[in-house]
Amino acid sequence: MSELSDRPNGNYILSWRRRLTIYEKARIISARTLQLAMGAVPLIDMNSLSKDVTSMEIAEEELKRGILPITIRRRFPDGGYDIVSIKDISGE
Amino acid sequence: MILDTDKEYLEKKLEEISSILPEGIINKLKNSISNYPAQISKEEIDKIIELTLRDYSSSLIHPGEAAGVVAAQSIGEPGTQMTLRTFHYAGVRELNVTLGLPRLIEIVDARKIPSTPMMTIYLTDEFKSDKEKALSVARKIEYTRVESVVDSTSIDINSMAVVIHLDPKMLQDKGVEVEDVTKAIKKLKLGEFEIQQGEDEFTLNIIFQNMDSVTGLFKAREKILSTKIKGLKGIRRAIVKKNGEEYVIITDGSNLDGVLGIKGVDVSRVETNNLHEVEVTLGLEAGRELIAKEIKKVLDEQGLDVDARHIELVSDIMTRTGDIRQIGRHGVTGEKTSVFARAAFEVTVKHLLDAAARGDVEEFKGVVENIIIGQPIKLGTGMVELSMKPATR
Repeated sequence: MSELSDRPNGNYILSWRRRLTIYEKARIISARTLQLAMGAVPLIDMNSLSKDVTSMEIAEEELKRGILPITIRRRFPDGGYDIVSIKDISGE
Repeated sequence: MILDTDKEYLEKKLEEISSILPEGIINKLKNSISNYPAQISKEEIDKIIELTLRDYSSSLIHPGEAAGVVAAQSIGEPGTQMTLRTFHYAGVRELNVTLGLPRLIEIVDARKIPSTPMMTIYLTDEFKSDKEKALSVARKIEYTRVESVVDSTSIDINSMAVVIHLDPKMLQDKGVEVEDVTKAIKKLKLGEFEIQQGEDEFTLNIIFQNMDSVTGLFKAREKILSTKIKGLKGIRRAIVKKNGEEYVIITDGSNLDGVLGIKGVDVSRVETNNLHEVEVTLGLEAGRELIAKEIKKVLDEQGLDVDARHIELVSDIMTRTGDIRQIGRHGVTGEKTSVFARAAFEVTVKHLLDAAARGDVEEFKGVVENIIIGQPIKLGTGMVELSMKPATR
């Protein structure tokens, strides 16, 4: 974490620590939707959702509640990377 | 408006965020807060700045965005709406400047010499309000040959002489004296010859001592006629025009190096549309600025509004490696490391054969090659690397 602030764009990287890019969000939701569609067990209580809910809506709700155990490896152009856990990202 | 006591507070607050927000936005903030009809309190200033910051950061693009593709489309789509007419009166009837699609192609192809080079020369304070002085500078730089002040010529075989009859009107128009013509001809290397005045003050007899053949005489005449009297190479015409309060020189033809050395020229304001000259004389960054400016000029003239950042991306890519390269086979696209990308662009078989013979390796890092083999592209969602650790119960 201390090496990050030495970088010229350290602030920029830090500002993204608590945010997901729109591409990451799309990727996560689509990956989770595929898992659910292929028979994975939802991590949220299905009773809290409406009767005819789609896999994608379940996935979106799971992401919103921040309970997905997924991490993202963000690579930088110089080869280094940053690992961000979705659970740490504030509710979107 | 704000209270005078709050002015300093506003300055301080803006100073704090000067590293986050661009200068233009900060100036706009300052102006609109200061000039707002109702009074704005300190807390409201804070709130305004906070909302601005929030709005700004949420509108920045996300890492992974395919900026190149977006820029290409943003310029290409209005390009389809450009008409193909090429000529336009640049304020002066005699000068036709290439505009529209052909000019855009010229810029992007980084052509060394544009088809209609043109310069706009501004003059120093001493010169710019005086029409005579402006005309003198224009005459100085306009490239004048002997043939443009010549009325008629003839060959005298008996005395092995070339006779030139000068046109007094043209002499005055170009600001040339007979002595200037004589001086220019004297400098030529045509063997031994002598210049005498002919029938009247405007006729010159050029008598050759050692001329053996008549063809030699004809060749000599050609050489004499195309001799430069004065002016800068490349400046075909220089016209003085009144631009508001000052006199400005518009030239057909471009010679940046030469013009910068002329007395009376305001060096800080000289404009040209010749990219290569600017790159060579003023440097690569100036060339980069000019590329963006010229592309914007083309689009604006057609009435198309394209955001500056797309155009700047193009000019940045063209100047990335240290000199201006074209977007095309001999430049940006041709220097791609991917074999498939080059083969998909032009000269397919040659690239594939050369790569096979050399044993090149295709790394599939870019967009084109991944599309060819059907893999996700490493942009946008394709750039996201996920790993999942399901909780163990």
